[in-house]
Amino acid sequence: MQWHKKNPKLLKAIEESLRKNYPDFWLDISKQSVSVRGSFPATADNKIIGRFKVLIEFPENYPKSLPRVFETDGRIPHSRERHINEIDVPVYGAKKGSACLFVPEEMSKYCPEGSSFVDFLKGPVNDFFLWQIEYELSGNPSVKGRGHGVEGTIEFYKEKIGTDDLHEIIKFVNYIARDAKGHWPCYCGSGQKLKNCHYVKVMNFKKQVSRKLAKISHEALLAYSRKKQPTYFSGNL
Amino acid sequence: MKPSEYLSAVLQSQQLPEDSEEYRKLISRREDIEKIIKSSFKGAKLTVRYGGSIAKGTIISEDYDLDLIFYFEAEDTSAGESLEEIYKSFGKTLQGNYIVQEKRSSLRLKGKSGMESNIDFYIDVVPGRYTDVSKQDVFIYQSGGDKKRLKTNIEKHIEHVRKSGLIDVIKLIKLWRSRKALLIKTFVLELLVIKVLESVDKGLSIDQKLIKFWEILRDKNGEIPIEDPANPQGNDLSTVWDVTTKANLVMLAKVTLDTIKNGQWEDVFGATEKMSREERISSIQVATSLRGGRAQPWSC
Repeated sequence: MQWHKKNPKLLKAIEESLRKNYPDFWLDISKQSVSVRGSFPATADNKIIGRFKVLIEFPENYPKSLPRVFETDGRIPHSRERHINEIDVPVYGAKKGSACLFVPEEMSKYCPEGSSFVDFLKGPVNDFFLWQIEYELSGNPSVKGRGHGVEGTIEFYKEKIGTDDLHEIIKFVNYIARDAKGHWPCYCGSGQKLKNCHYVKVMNFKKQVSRKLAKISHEALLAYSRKKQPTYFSGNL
Repeated sequence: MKPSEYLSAVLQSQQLPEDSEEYRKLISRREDIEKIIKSSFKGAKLTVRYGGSIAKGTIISEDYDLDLIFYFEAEDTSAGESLEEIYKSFGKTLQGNYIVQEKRSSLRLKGKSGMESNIDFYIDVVPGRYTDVSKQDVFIYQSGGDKKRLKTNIEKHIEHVRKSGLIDVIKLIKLWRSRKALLIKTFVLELLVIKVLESVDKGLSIDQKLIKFWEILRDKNGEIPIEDPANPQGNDLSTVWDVTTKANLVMLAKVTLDTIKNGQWEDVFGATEKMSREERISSIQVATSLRGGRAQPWSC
């Protein structure tokens, strides 16, 4: 059953919050799906900096998965350079032409549990379109886009773990993906047991990144280290 | 500020001056397309016409398009015997330089590669053939529907809009459509505005005319008959003025009327101040620094 039929209260709440916060948006509800259409006002410093015509599709399992955002006026090229998915990537729920807002591991940062659809619009969606405006205006946004594909994932883990060592990153992600035990050797290569070294870091990270997502990233990182295309591109995972 | 003054400021903010970069790009692209077509169909007796919002005087910076129309003489078969052949051979020719999206009668052009990949140039190329030597009406190919050809006349369309006395209302309704990302063809929307307001007092102010437009649309539940001025009896517009389009338009008309009743016109069309390039960059940077960063976009 579609999420909006299971949870009509949530749909009503979205409708009301849109009316208040994004008056140009309207809900397009069909038997099969729910989407939002309208002109998105990218805002900074309490001013509208630019507008983009958008279509935002709610996935069947909303709010478990995030809505997909499409710019519909043909203004943003469909390229990785501009962070628009060039292909469907089912494992991430991404569709060709949809905006890629952030590395999936950052979901808990930008869309923490309990956050609303309007929070999503005001947060990562607004950030995405500000990035596009800066790109259009100067070609050089003040916030750097992530590297493409696995490289963006590596960048994220590098920042979080504080290492450039790909093998260390792979081990760390593997520990997130598995039920890591305290007696296992620490991923950092110190020779100590995990419980005497980076145990807290691993456990804290497990709260932010799901095991399923860590498995996907682990597989992709392994493939990358072997100079192979990650299988998630073909949706096999 | 009176509503009419505010709406006048909205229109002012939506101007697309001829010396703007966007406008110049559009014209330069038009010249490029003309060159491609003329060099591909050398010897053809082609008449080139410009349609779309530029020709009709309804251009707004947030929503514009250009129809580039190529008409062959009645007996000219240099691009194909049938209208479909002409349409297809135009598509094939343009595919060398553009992504060509086949629409009902026109070919929408988008960027083919690199940083222009899939960027919409807002240009529709419409190939066709004059019906006879008088060079008045034309036949154009129609991919959907029962009939494979459509008799039309671009000059009549332009004149119909230009002489309506409703240019500013049309511009604002186009802006409204744009803000709602409403899927309705510009041609249909223009005909609708003109039809709805044809019997309304011409002396009304622009805000009153807009309210009338939405009220009539709401009260008639979208059941407003529109016809193509170039071929009133011959061209069936029911596929583009369909049930879904009517329902969405009526629903949004109601919402807009409520918005105006409960608040201000600004809630419909937003602020009118235009920011310079530098102000926009600076505002983004200030907001980013106050927030201590922004989400970094990725790509799978």
